Amino acid sequence: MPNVVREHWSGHVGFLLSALGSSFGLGKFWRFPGLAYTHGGGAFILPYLVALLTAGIPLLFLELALGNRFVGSSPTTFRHLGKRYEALGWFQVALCFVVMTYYTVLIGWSVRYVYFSATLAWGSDPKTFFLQGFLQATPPGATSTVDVSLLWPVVAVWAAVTVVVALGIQRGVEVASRVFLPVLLVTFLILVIRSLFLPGAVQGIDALFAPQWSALADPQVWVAAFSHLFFSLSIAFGIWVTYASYLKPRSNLVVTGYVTAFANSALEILSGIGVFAALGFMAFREGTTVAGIEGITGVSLSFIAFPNVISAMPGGALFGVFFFGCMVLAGFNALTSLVQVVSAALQEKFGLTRGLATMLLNVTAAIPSVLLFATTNGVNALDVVDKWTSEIGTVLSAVAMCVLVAFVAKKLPELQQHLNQMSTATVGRWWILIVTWVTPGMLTYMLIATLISLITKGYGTYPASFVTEYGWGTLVALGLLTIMFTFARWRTPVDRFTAVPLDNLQPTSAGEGT
Amino acid sequence: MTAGAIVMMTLAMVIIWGGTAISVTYLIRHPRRDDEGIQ
Repeated sequence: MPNVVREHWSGHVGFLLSALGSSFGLGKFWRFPGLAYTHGGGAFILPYLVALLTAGIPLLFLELALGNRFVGSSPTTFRHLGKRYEALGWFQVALCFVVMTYYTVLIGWSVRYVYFSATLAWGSDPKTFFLQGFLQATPPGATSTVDVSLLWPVVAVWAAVTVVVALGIQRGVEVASRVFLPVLLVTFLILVIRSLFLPGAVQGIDALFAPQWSALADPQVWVAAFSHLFFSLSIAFGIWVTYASYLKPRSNLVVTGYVTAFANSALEILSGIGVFAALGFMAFREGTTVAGIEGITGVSLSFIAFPNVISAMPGGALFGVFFFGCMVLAGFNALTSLVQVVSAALQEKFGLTRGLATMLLNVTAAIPSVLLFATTNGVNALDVVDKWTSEIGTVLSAVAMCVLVAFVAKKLPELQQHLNQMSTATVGRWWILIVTWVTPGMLTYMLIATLISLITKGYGTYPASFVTEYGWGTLVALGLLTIMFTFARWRTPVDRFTAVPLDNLQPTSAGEGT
Repeated sequence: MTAGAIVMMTLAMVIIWGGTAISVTYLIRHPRRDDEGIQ
């Protein structure tokens, strides 16, 4: 809690490793490469860069400044801005909670695939193996049953993340990142380099980067770029707010933010190159083009297309163990940050100990995780919930955050001064302009475009009832969780808070502006 | 590789990897000396 002893990162290396661990999640493997390929190839790079420079980096600075100045988990931080604003913090916590529930199952699948890779258990037909043999997938809306074989890896992941978060910031989250991230990066680099030397790799990379300029006229391509970047950089989930609150008062926020944002995208581009080099090899082997390969977007990319590549390449079993091992480590690091956000919020609101909050949280989250996603219908449910969370939930959260800070609480000048006084690099007026007008304007347009598209056209081939249940139902669940926790009584003295004085600024007391 | 693909890959690498290299170099060369948070 603020004004009592609060945990801190050991230093900038610990913070940076944990930050990169949080952003280097599963999306690097199954989201970005396929998304870029299907949304204009090389042309997608332009909206992606625009999204990085006009929304990703400015909002990352905003979250870092909020957390570091108003010291707390997301709900605490927004309450320190003004008592009425706490709800936005709980909305972000609810987003993390929802993502946690299906993310764990994805990691569980990856754990199983590490073992499957060792024996190439999928045989000659990875698609049938994945959908029928492994998931026993049923059509969307059909009766769903819990897949018992998925229980142990999912429970193991929940148990491991509980231990890490319960150990605390330095001894748990930071140590896990210090151990796992270097292992992940080295393994990842080995995979990328190996892929580059496969026959057909150049054709694969060409398929990824060949620009289809007409895609730039499609608003959905821009929506996909922005929403993906938010997901990839973990913007609007409250992760940076929470992580920055564990930095000591004077920290190099701006420079650290630039490193985190650019390094995250660098890994993403590298992942795209590695994945498409491998897909190019697959196309070469089958005498076709990358476009002729089935399932190179979304979950299918990792669990259908890649097993095909693994089977075809020399030393494929080892490559497969490394690939899915990478996915497990990447997913685990990202999951840790999600759990940390929710656990910190519960600790601060209800005065719970770290261990108790984390254990209660993870036991509670494991129930919907198993019942909704570790099932024969899990792959469909996961796809729909991910779509609504990433393209509506996070965008809504980001717009609300910009509007609240810029127009309602009017804290941007104070946050700019905080960033500039704490950092060895500064942000200029451009930052205020972007966060006040450009980012919320673009995001609002995209949010409306997405809502209109989903309402009028539905999502993919899913039945309307299934989309209502899992898609719109996710938004209802987010709203209910937000209301429930916002109106719960604080059991800690949250309002006893005074921000660090800045030159030419008066201290900001909690609740000011309410 | 096609010319368009080479241009877009180079653009992505220059901006993103260049941004990473510059920001890391800046962080190393301009640490906070009076820093309580970053050692």
